[in-house]
Amino acid sequence: MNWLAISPLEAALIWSALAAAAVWLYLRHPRPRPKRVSTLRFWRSIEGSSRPRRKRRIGEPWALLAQVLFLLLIVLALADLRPAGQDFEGRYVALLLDSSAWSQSRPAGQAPWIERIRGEADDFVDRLAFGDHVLIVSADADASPLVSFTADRAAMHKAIAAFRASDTAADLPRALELARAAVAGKRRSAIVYIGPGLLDEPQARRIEQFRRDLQQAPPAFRPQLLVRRVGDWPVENRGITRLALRRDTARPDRWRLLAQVHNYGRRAADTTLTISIDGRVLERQTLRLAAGQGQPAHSEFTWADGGLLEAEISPPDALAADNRALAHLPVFRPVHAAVFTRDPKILKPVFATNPYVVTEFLPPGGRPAAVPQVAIYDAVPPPPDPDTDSIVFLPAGAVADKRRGAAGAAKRAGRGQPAAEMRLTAWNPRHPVTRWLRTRDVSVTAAAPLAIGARDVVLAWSDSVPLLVARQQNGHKQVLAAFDLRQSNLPFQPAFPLLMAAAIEWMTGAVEEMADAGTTGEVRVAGPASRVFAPSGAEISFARAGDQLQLLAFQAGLYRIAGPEGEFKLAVNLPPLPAQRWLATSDESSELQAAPPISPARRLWPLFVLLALVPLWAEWHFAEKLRVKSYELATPPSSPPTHNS
Amino acid sequence: MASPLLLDRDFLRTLEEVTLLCRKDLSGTIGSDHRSRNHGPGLEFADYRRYSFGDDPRFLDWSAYLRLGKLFLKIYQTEEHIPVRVLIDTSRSMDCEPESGEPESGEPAGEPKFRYAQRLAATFAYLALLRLDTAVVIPFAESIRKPLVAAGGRERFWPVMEFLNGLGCGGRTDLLASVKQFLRQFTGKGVAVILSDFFDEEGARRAVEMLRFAGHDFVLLHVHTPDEQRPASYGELILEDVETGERRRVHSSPEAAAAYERAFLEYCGRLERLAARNGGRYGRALTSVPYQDFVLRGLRGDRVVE
Repeated sequence: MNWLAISPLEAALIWSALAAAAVWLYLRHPRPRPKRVSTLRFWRSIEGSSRPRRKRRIGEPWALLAQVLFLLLIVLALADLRPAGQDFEGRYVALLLDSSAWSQSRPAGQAPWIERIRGEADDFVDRLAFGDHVLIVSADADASPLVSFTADRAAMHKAIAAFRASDTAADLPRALELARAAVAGKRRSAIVYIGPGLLDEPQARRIEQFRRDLQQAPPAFRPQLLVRRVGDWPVENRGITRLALRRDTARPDRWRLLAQVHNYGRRAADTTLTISIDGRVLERQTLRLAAGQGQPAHSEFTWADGGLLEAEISPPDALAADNRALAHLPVFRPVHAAVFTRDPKILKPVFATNPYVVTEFLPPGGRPAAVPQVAIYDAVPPPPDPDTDSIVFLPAGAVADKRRGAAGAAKRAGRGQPAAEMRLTAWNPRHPVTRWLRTRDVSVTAAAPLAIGARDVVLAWSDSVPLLVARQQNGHKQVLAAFDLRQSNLPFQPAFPLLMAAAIEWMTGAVEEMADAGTTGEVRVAGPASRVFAPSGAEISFARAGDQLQLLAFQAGLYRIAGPEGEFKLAVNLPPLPAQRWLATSDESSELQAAPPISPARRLWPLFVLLALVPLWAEWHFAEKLRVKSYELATPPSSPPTHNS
Repeated sequence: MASPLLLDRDFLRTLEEVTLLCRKDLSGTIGSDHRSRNHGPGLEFADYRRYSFGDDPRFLDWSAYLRLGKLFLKIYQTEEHIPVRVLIDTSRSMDCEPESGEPESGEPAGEPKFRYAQRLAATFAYLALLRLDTAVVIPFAESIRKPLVAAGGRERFWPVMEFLNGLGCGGRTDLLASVKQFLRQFTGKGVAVILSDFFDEEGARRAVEMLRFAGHDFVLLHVHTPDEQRPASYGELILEDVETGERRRVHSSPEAAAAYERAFLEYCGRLERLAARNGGRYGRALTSVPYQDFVLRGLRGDRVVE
């Protein structure tokens, strides 16, 4: 049997509620009515008969039973119950509404495509037969249901009205697969796509494969695929498809910019690209874009301060969302290092070629002009408790750890007496300071014994004797070398500047070389995070994959990512949009298969209404019987005449 | 403001043919239209009797003496004044409006009880005035109030209606005290018509006995509404006695209403037996019955009028 109007549970609930109300009305004691009389003495004399009722009882149970039966039959009639066998199950339709960035298009003189999609969807829903179940899916980079299978038209229209376009490129094959999984196993099902139907080549191939897969399904369970394309193609639109920035390696405050602009229209167009940072215009370029072609735009500028770089093209066109792209420029600040040495000629050439470090050479015990970020002690004993990050090259024969004592340190090191000349045999490939170093041509003489703490990391060994140690204590990092640079050939090796740069980078953090922006859809970002905020200010959910952060960015703009080390910003722009139209077959362009006709003779509600008349009459009969009985009791035949005549 | 007519003109004309009956030998002043059982000066010949010494020689039938040679005295029917005293209950219980009624009652609601009593009081006063008797209307509740005495024919009926229309209800019923006061104030015998709902049973019993001892010819007219005989409301009720203020919560059901009516009718029967036992008459005036019908049929049936 089918319950087309309301479910059996709903029908049972409605009937239960009505029956409960009827019972309550039958049991209800009205509030006592006050009345002034002169005959209270007679009421006193019949106290037994007129005592107020303590227990509630139903005066006419048969009338109540008839009324409850009447209500049941009426509810069954409303439920539109139909006999099994010739029933109408209703179709299951997965309605895919394209919510990609193309849905925001508004060609000149036309309504926005999103409105046309909504209108088409509303019309489609209105044309469905009563009892058809519809799943509405918003198809963009993701495919998320707006409303699960329901026969409730109001819910469908509400979901369609709430449907919004995103800034992503649609992944239509993914949405189709979701729809197919949703209607799997259902007879008379359909997958209906409504939207501009714009794909890229890989998606077109996947859709072709999807069609083939559909044909292999059993005919009884094969969903009908329908495509309702909205809007004319191509539209006159130009968009920024990529924005990338890179620092100049020799001048970290100089940026090289690459912007890719694409013309989706059928006519060549002149487009002006404007580059600005925090509202300050840096450059304007005019690009001649051939129809259907893209063109790169290059630029260079010097900008040490951070800021929000914005690339914008004009004049306006059909799609405004891709006329603008953002990138967040990181601030460049060189590291301030103080080098304490008696002989600066070894280290000076190393730092002279490094634009990321500003050095100040001082004699031992000298006072730097400003508090350095990194202190380098070249054959100078470091202070017992250094108050900054430091790189220490111990003087020849020095004792490494005065706090523990040289003898004890040597014992704990277990390495015996320092060799007169040792050869560096291994680098620690897992530590960021030494992960890029491979050279083995490093020899050391007069190395001091190093005491290795529990949290120390050995960076280089000579056989089993540690020569280089990374240490973190009191919140400061330290790289400790057991040898004097003058007692080693390391300064003459190409690995030495790399070692110094890596050590400083480990201590102060890496300088961001790129200012690349992400694209909407699935975004992966390095680093931990606790909260992520979309450009609209709304907090969005994300997942952690290893040390990466994974989130779905449906909106272009500047995302704020809050983590344990503070907040950083991520610019997200529109990706290159697909520009190939879905070529629908004649079957896909046809109408939805008609619902099987419903035989009026099979409808049971008239029968229920007729049957309901019987208990209705019975209730009236019993109620009238009660009324007559009351009247007869009130007028006993033995009653004397009203006056003595 | 003009007083409404308690009795319509047609009914007043009908009452010309109605006579208030007295069941007792009441000696009043001569001159009324009431025929007395006592013979005396009058206009209508009644009988002859032998002359005795001391008889008034003016009543000798000289024609009979000429024919028979004996002295016969002509005797005439005495026409006495019989005061008709109408005691009308003005206690608060008489002020109850009849309930409009539920379909179960099947009867019209009737007119207000006191209004009905006013009409009956006016009827008896008119009947008295028609026969040139004295009509006295005495309102009472806890005690009797200032009465109205009317005599001298029907022309004096208008003040009676004015008086009756001016009456209002209030106070509790104390029939015994009122009758005691009445007997002290009106010592002469007469017809006493008591219009009341008689919801003071003990007082009514003793009052009736006192009236009998005082030699009055009395009529108890029990005025009540249909819903006082048979409750018109069903369901949970909070009843408040209009005179005592006592409140009682009851459940009025068809069964309870039937028991109530039985109790009421038993009470009416007791009143009727009380009146009969003491030489009086009893009539039950149901306000749903038009007062004209009650007077012309009901009171005739009770031998109160003819």
